[in-house]
Amino acid sequence: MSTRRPASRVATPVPAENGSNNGGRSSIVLGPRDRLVGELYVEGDLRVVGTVEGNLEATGDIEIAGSGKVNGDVTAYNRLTVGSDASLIAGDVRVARLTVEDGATFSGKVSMSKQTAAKAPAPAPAPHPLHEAQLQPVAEIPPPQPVAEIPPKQPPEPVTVQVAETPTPPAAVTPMQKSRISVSEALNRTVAGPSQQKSKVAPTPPPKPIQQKGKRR
Amino acid sequence: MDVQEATAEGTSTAENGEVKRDGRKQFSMGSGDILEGKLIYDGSVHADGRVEGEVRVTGNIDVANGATVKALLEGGNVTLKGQVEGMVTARDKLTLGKNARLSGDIQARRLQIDDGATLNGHVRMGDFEHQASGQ
Repeated sequence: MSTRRPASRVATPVPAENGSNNGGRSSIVLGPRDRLVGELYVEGDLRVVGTVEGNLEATGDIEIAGSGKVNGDVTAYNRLTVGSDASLIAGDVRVARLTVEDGATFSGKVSMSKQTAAKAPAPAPAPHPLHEAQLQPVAEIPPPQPVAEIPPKQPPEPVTVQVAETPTPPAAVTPMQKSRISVSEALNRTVAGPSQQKSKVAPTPPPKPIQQKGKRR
Repeated sequence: MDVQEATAEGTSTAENGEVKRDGRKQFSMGSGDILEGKLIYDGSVHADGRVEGEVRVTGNIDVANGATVKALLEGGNVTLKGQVEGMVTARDKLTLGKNARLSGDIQARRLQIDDGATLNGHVRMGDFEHQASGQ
């Protein structure tokens, strides 16, 4: 008995082959004694030999083999296989490829056009938090922000362009005008200022002393 | 044998495409044939070319690869290899070949879908509301 138990344990889960990673994709096996009640999302392949009551979704293949029984919606991004002794009673079955072996029990609404297989998973994974986290950043980053930012930038850009064009002439003009004005004003001021000062200062003092000197001499 | 052949010839003249096979009648179409309307037939049907309407047979229905069928199909064993649009009922077994493209609801006691087949529709397995008919 002791030898049989470890052997049977190894046989049903087969952890070495299935539980480990297969090139980054997980592979889950529900053995004949295993039972799942609820939802399961797998990024990889799923093999059901046991009983599942709930919805299954896998990015790879789903195989219901042996005496496996699934009662729930099934979404396989790639392939669904229902074995000859297996049972699938579903509401919706969304798969890209479907194989049902003779003898299997199969019922449900099947959608397996290439469009539904490719597009259906996209809306379907919305309830899953993983997909929301994956989809939201991708959707948020590219579309709205750059589009919203670009148009406001464009109107200021032409302004800057006009500024860039205008500054050279007006900048050249204004300093010239300022310089001309300032120079002319300065000249007028300087001319008017010193000339008056000179005329007032120059004539008044020299004639007085000259006349005084001349008159005195 | 002579009598059977005579009856076969007599029925074949009355109904197009009939062929005697193992004591069963078969309505056989070619790839260029067109069937429009309602066919209720006591025998088997090999559908090819284009079929539109309704086909109910007591025997089997075989839709050839390349055929285009827009019809309600009901038969014992139904084998689809072509393109079918419409409800399909198989009192025994429904087989979708690798090139089959079925858009419609399925009702069958047994179901086999080969890899490569395309199916869009509701699948029911078990007992049938519609009995084999034609009568």
